[in-house]
Amino acid sequence: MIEIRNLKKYYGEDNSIKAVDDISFICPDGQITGLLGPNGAGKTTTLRMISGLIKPMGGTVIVDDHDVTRDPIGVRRALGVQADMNGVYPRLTPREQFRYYGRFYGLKGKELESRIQAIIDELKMDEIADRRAEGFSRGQRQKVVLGRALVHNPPNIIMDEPTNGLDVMAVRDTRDTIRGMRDQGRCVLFSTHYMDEAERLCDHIAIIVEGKIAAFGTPTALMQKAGKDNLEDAFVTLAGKDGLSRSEYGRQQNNQ
Amino acid sequence: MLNNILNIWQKELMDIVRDRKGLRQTLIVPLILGIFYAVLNPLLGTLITSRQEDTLVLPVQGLEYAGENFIDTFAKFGIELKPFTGDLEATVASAEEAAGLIFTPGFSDNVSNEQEATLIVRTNNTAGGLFGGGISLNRLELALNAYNQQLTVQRLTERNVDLSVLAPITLDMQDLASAEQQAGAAASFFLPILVAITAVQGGMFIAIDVTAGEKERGTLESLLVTPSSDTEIFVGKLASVFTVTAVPIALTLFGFWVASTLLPESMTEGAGALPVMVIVQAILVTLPLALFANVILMTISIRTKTFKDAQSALTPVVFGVMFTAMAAAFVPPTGASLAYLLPVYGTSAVVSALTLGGIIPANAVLFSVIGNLVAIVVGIVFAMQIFNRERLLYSM
Repeated sequence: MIEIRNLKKYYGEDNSIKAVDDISFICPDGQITGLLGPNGAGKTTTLRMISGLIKPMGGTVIVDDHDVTRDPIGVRRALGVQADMNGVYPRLTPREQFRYYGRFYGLKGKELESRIQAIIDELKMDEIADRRAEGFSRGQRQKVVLGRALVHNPPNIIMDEPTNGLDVMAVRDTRDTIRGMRDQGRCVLFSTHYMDEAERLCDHIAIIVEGKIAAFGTPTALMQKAGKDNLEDAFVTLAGKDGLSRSEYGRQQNNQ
Repeated sequence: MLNNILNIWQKELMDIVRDRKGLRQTLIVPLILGIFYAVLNPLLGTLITSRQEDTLVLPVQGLEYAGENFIDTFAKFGIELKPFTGDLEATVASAEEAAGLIFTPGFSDNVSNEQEATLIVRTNNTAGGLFGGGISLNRLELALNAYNQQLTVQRLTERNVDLSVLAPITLDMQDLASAEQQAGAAASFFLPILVAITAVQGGMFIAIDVTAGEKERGTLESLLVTPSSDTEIFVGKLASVFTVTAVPIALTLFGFWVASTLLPESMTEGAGALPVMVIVQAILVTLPLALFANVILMTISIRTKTFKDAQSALTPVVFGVMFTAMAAAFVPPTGASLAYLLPVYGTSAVVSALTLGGIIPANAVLFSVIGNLVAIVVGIVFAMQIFNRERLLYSM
């Protein structure tokens, strides 16, 4: 379980840029929680604070009883992180990359090899498992990154815009994988700016705009709360037009 | 802790071994560099000797006044006098010729009659490039001195003067330098510079690859969210960079040594090759410098965004090291100087002293190793200050 308590991160000389401004929500085990917001809303900053890449200015994150400010290594052991940059090592095969990451978590020998094979089977990577990653498609790279995040079989997974830039089939695969992780009882938190993706996948959605949680609940509850029959309209209502108009989402809508 | 360091070290080595461009830069270039430097010095000597042995044709005006004796003396020095018409001074000034002679009318007769005889000599030592003017003028000067001496002897003999007045002291000169010392003297300038450059250049590619390269590929963030500390990541990467740097240092020096031993005697003039132990000692003394250079390279590279940025940022480091090593070759420290503590300067001075085969000042090796080790510790502490996850991410 991931518990976010009054998390804050400000930037600028006088802390005038409030990237994340006092947010709190809980991501339970066996459920998918979506962090939904326009670009620049604070999603990546929030996920980076959860994984300990960025130190919060206030508040904290608890991952399975590990406090990120006091025990960042414990948090990282309990987390699988798929970062927003789908970088792979081009001269290593996916199997070698999984082995490299698995060793950081103390895995070795047969245990490590069987875990690697399980990941390869789970992500349907048989054909590419022993090929060097140079020239992999975006979808294949995404699988390598996800496999690296899952190699130590973490109970909690965070993913930053996992379907961004993928083709239709790769998106379907990724969504199936996310559902599969929930079915295994893991806590899944992922960020997205796609409304339909959030609606299809998420048990709970945290709408984040300008660093604040504008609303939190199930997709149905959010639509009921906003009095709308689809998530996009509910999102616009709950996020507030002022906030959205200042965001990239607002600018895109205005251009259309 | 050790497991994570070892894991990173193994992975980075596997990565570099599979990278053809990186391997070429790491293995082949240093080997060629070592061989090149080994051949360069004797080659320059051979070119100079060859130039000295060629017949030198000098343009002359008023050759009819030169006299047979003058022409014969110059012929013994391989100088052929060729009549020239036109503006000789302008020809020499424009560097078409390195030198020209103008005999004034009656030169030979005046010499015979012991009257004033003027020979106009015009020179331009820039003519003919590196192996041209300077070498030609040396020979011209030797020939003129020989002619002068010949006349002096002749005149003193005619006056029944004992010729021993021309040599008030008797010189018994003998160069006692061994073949190895001669080889060392030739190498003592090149080798320290070569070694210092290799210590920096040898690990540059991988230092950039494991820092800025990791950022550019987008793999750094994934690595930073593993349960490994900043120190483990930095030290693991540093270990791999150091391992890779040690190889080109050894290759360069052994390449230098092997090429020296294989050179024909006509090129080395009997100077021979350096003893292999000097090469081994030079490698050992250079390794701490290499580690220090690795820390500097990684510290700078980690702050850049891309491979290209890192290459630009590191160029001044290469020049800085090269000039410091040159300073050690030109102005070596005297005695057991504290100057040996200076990282690049001290190591280069020790390598130079080792190469010369003489007595190495007391504490020089110790000082150079301590100097590098202190610099390494300071460098790592500084690197860890800036190897801060948040700043790393937001400099992207």
